[in-house]
Formats: sequence, structure tokens, C-alpha cells
Amino acid sequence: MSPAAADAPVARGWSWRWLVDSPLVLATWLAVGGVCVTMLDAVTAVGSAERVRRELDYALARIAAETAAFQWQEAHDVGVLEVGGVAVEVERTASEWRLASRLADGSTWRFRCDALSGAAPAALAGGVVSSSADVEPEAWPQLDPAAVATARRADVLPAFRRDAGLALMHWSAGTEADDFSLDPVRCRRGLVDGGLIVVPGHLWIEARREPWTIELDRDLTVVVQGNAYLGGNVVVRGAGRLLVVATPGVGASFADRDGNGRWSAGDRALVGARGKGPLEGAGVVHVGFAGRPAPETLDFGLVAVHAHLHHDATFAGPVLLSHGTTSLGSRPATVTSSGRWSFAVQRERVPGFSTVGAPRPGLLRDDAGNPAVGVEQPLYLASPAR
Amino acid sequence: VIANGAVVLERWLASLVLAAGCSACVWLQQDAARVVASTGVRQDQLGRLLALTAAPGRQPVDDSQLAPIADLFAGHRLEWSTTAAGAFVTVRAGAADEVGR
Repeated sequence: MSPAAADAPVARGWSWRWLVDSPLVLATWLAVGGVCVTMLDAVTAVGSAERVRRELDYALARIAAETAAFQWQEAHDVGVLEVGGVAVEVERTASEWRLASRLADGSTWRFRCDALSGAAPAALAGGVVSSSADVEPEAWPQLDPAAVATARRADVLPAFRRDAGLALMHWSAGTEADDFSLDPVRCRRGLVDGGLIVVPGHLWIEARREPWTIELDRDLTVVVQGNAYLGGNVVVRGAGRLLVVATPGVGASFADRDGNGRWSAGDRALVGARGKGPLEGAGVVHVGFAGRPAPETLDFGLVAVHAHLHHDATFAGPVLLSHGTTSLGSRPATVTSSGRWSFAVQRERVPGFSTVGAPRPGLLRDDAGNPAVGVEQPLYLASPAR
Repeated sequence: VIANGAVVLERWLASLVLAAGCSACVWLQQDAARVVASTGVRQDQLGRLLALTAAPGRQPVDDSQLAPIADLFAGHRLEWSTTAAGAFVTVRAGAADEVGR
């Protein structure tokens, strides 16, 4: 070997052992790793604490805004009210309150709520009422005649179809009043919309393989000025709730004890003068049909004079029957409410119904229109804020 | 001798680094545990508040229901307001320990 070759630097490649060769390097790695893992825990804890702090701020802002809405006496005005050290900017229009709670740290939370003319009928708070005598008279829902008179009517709405042959499939002589059914495609596409719809006749929900799916963004009350024949499953999608109201109108309601679909000897008169209105009566509900499977999903609430039950029936919302039920099947049938939803009657408007009590703010909603909390909110204050 | 000294010094430094790292970990963990405990208490109180405000007008006026969440909001105190329709929770300025004065 030449002297020059012996003096040349030895070329050495990189080795992972360099990272752990020295106790000092190894200790540094361990310390850094441990601190990083612990830091991650700490950051997670701080993030969780920050989330809870924001939830607390929101809760404080909500309580203050709600209190301010109840205390604001001006009909149409803008101003600032201090509630528990929280400055709440209030802007009231004829139809709603807009509220902005400014907390001490400068953060602002905005809410809004409807201006209600009063409370909704207390009986709509949920559950099953099988006789109007079981509740106070003012608690029983009364339709608002003005609202009914100006409501949209099913005979001009594309989501409903008039079908003269429907009744003949079940009753040999059909019915005297007009018969309507839903248009499955238009209901599914959300063309029903919320509010109040009047069906000037009978409403038929026929049994079919697919459930009747109704898209609703807002609450909808369907007033049936006749009978409701419920044979199929009904599913409501969206934020809205569906309430079906069968009202006798100028007709008469009776318990069809023989199940022949019309007044006959032995039937029991309930509401209205016998002989008035269509022969098949009005204001009653038929759940299921003889020899047909029972509807399993009835995703709505019901208000009617009477219910004829071929099967047990469970509704998602409140069920109010002023004159009970008649079982037409082989064994006694019952009607129940699953309680999946109900109305916060003190703070919510139920389309089409008269209100009782003093005007009040509705449920608080956030800027996006979502309920500020749960389904119910505190009621009005007894004393003004100091 | 010099080589042995370097080795001892390196091991001593490694121990020092490990001790510092462990101390930092313990300190951070204690701090995180304190934050987690405090957050848990707050979250529990918030849940109680939501339960009280979710069904308004139905609860009887009972200060014992507010006692566990009296210090939920710093600088504010919670109290019941009553109407003919029932009782519900509202907020007033002041510390929680001023309740009842």
C-alpha cells in the first residue's frame, strides 16, 4: 500500500446505531419522546376544557337571552337589557325576537325566537287522551277558523290526488264525500311543505310495499274534513312534524260498530246531527282494514273524534280522541303513542290551532335555526330583571 | 483516564437528561389531570343545568337542585324564578356565595 493511500480518510456510511450508540443520545430520545406523549395528553385536556368553556358561555348567553325575551315589554323596538351581567341586545319585530348576548369576554351569541300569540293547546303536549272529558276544556285543541279558511286546500295541491275509486276498494257503495290520497313522489320530494293544509273530504293512506315518505322541513297540520283511512305506513323525514286532524265539519261522527263504513242500525252517534253530511260520517279515523296487515309505522300525531281499530296502532306523536275507540278486529285493539316527539305547548306554535294565554316568545333558536336546547325552554319570568 | 472521565461524564449527563424529562412529564401530567378533573366537574354541572332547563315549568322550586351548580358561572349566580306556569332557572349578576343574602 502506498503512503498516500494509507493517509486517505476512511469513507463510512450512515448507520442507525448512531442514534442509540451513546447513553446521552438514547436518554435524549427517551426524554423527548416522553415529553411529547405527555404534551399530547395535556393539549387534549386543554382542548376539552376549552370546549366545555364555550358550552358554558353558550348556556349563559342562552339563559340571559331567554330571560331578556320574556322581560322585553316593548312591542316593536330595539334596545339593550342587562341580565345577570350579560348585555343582551334585543330587537323585536311583529313576528320574532332577535337577541344577541354579549358576555364579559366580548364574545357574542345570537339567537332568535318567534313571537307567539299564546300557548298551544295543552293536550298536544304528548301521550294519548281517549276522551275530551279527561282534560280541561281549554286544553283541548280548537282549530282556528281564520287559519282554516285561508289554508291551502288539497284539491289544488299537487301533492294530493282525488281518487273516486279508492273507497270502492273497501266499501261496496263507496263514499259520498270526495276521496283524496297522497302523491308518493311529490310527498317524497318535499312538495307538501309545512303549515296548514285542508283536505275537503276523506284522506286515504293505502297499504303499499314502500312506506309513504313525506319530507317536511316545518311542522304540518293536515285538517281532514272527513274521515282518515290509515292502511299504510307513513314515515316523515326532516325537521318537521306531521299532525293529522279529522274533523266532522258540518257532518256527523259515529262509532261504526258493524264496520260497514256507513251509518246503520246499532251504530253509536257521537258528534253532530245524525243524517247530516256524508253517510259514511266524518271526523273519525279507521286504522287498518279487515283482512289487511296492520300499519306498523304511523309517524305522525292524531286528533280526531273517534278511532276504529282493526289492529293495535302506535303513533309517533300525541293522540287525542274526544270519544275514544271502537275495536273492529277479532280481539280488542288499543291505540298508543310512542312519544317520539311532542309539542312544547307553552313555547311552540302548532299550525292551525287557536292559542291560549298571554303572548310570549317561542323556543330559542340559534343563528342556523336549530333549537338552542332540547325541545322545551324555560317559561316566562314572574319578576323583571334588576 | 481521560477516556474514562468522558464516559462517566456522558452517563452523568444522560441521567440528568432523563431526570429532567421525567420531571417535565410528571409536571405536565399533574397539570393535565387537574384540568381533566376540573373539566369533568364543569361538564357534570353543565349537564345538570341542561336537565333543569330542558323541562321548564315542571320542577318544584327547590334550592337543593341548584346547589351543585351554584358556582357554574364565575361572577354570576343561578336562581329559580317562579310563575303561575311553574319554576325555571335564570341568572343574576354576583358571586354564587351571595345566594340567600
